[in-house]
Amino acid sequence: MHAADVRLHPAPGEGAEPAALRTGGRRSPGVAAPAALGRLDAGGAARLLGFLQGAGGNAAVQRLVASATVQRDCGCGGTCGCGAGGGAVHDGEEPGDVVVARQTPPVVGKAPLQAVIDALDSVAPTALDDAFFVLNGRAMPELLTVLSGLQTAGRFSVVKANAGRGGPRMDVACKVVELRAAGTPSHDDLRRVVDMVETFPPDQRTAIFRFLGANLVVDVRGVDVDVSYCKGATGAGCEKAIREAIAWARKMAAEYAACRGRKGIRTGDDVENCVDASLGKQGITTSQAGGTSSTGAVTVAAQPMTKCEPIMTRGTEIHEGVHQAHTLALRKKFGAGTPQFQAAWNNAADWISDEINAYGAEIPFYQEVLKAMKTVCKTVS
Amino acid sequence: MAAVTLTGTVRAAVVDGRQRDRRRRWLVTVDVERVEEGELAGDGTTLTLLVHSPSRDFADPDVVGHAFRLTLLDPVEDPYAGRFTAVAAGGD
Repeated sequence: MHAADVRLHPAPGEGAEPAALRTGGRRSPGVAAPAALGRLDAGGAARLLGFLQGAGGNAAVQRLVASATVQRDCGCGGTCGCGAGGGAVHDGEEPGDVVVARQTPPVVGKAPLQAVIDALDSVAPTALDDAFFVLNGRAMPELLTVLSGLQTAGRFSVVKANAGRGGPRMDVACKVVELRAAGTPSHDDLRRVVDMVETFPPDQRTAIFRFLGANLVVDVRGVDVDVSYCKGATGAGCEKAIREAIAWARKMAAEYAACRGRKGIRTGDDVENCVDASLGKQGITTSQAGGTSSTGAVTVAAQPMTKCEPIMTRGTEIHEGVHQAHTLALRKKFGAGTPQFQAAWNNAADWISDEINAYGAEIPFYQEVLKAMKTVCKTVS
Repeated sequence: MAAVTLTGTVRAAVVDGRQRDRRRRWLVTVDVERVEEGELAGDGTTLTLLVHSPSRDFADPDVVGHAFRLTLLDPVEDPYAGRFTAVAAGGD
């Protein structure tokens, strides 16, 4: 049983036919094409796995299923493994598809590159689908390596010509491989890549720039600051957004401080109302319109990553860390849920200090990121 | 007057990537076990709250996996960004 590029998508209610599975990286003559199979429902998955168990044994099935759980890339908001049935969801796949793919093909004992070459050798459209699927299922460093190998092996032009079928990740990866093959990328080239990858997860961005030889990465409290945060050829860098975040944190700390000691402010709610009123008087709106579904159903949709999001997310986590530590300290001091805890937690002065500390903790982080960016962005400016 | 009172368990607390509210930067997803008063829209099994701080707003340093009795004081929207109270349910 060769499983390097097995793709299982039978139609709902339609059991997968064993003959539809490709073996040895090539489709047997006369068998149904995977592209014709559609999606796999839960019953179909069970029947198919039952068949695989019979044909390949438990070990083969376990390896197949285990490999699906290690896929890191998916199209569901950056959270992997969120497809139905535990299958990974990949670029270009709909969440809910059941997809089983191998990250590495120990079952067939082939190098990833050879498995893809095999798929491209039988260059029917369905085989190309499989090849793209295999490629897209790979982590970015491996995807770039395989594409480089395909270029050397003379198959790259086929992949490149069809890259649009693999989603934006594949398109960008192909361009990046071409860029490196053309020689040392110029600063202009790198700035163009900065624009291309701005919606990619940060680790993929880092992998791409590392592949291009832009290796400078500064770790700032868990955020790898690399050139992807710098100004691109057309897109803005994150400097402005970070400076705005610093200004906002300072402003909010000042707003809370201004409510301290005011008459009638005794509880956390009083403090929040005080800050709300002050911001309102200044005409400052903090929430965006929209976000409510017409049906009332809870639909917090996954959004594409924005360029500066990893930095802002870390800043938010640092802020939360202060609240978390303070809540924990109050619990230790007074006991969870006790009247004493409740009184201390809801005390206006304590509430204000906690907020000032939390906003204050964000600022040095953002400043460190700016400092790191100054160093890193020199390499592309 | 309370709009909705319910008990539920916090399934997840994640930073809101959309940053739809600069003062409420966390999305907390609650699996609703019982609606005691009022009505939730949709199928009523999940509630998403947009909050400033999971630990502060729930008075719990580690909210995920913990059950709470929530009282939503404003009209329920998706996600809910209004005032609410949270009390640990079923011990801690």
